[in-house]
Amino acid sequence: MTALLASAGAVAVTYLLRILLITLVPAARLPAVVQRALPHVGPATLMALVAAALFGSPVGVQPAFLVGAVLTGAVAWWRGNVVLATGVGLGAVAVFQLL
Amino acid sequence: MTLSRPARPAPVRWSWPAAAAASGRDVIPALLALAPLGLVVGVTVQQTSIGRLLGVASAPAIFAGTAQLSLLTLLHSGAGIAAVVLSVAVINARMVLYAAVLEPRFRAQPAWFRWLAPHFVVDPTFALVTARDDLTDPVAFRRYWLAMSGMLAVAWTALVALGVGIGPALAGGAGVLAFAPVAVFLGMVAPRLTDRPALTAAGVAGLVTAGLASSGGLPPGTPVLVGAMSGVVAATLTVRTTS
Repeated sequence: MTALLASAGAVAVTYLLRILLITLVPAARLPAVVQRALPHVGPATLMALVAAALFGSPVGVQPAFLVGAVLTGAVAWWRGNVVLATGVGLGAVAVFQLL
Repeated sequence: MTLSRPARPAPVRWSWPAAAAASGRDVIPALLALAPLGLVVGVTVQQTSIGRLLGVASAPAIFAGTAQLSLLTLLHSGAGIAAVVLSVAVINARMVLYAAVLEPRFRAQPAWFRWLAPHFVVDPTFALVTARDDLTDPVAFRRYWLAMSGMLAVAWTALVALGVGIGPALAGGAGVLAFAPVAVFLGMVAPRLTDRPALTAAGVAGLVTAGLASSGGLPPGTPVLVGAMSGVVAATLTVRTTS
């Protein structure tokens, strides 16, 4: 019963966070300074997710991942192709781990 | 998926097949990012006493892998309901930021869509939608969002179920698979770093998050939230200074 109630609570709180600034209090009503900041959320959160995955792993920072990240970022910036960049990055990590 | 930098095109009203085709192409790299986490969640469901049915069923209901992983491990360690829900709230707090950015696209939508569709706001859907500049038409956005979210929800549930079933057998490829989310998110953000505010936002967010994450001791999700907000504030200050 605890697991069921905890799961229901997790679903409810996550849904609330998702609809808060879309349905309940639309972001258009936010102060102008907050609205000016919103375009920067994308680059900031995506890079934060990347940094957390690279530096927050329980097994520590892995050199193969750092090499893969540099190559992935370079290819993505150069070609703008996510699939190609991801393939290069994963391939580099696989090769690095075999060495 | 190719992230180009053209001028904003005129609004296009997509048919359902066009929306499904576009979202299908975009979802492929997102699935790469989701695969390791989905399998890990599935393996964790199998290793805890939460029950397979509840574990797999809650995957599309929560639709947030890190939060579900935290829920499972906390329940397994005997944590109470309040502690579990609070932890999930902290981990998913960044979704408030995502919602604020996506709100203009939901503004012209029917009420049912504004109440139900935000359920699918999560890292990959946010990244995919904000990378496209051809979703200004409300109908096009609605069809693209529903097609993409539906595919991701089905795939995510299947991945968790697969993890429950055969996760331990995939341990050999775990090292490379663990890099997939980094590669996909980096591949999505790098083409956007074309001006000083974007570079500032990403640079500060990355540095702050790396520092907090490597120091340890903070609840899961906190480094990302604090790092992202630091990047947003720094980029906003950069714009104000230069203008």
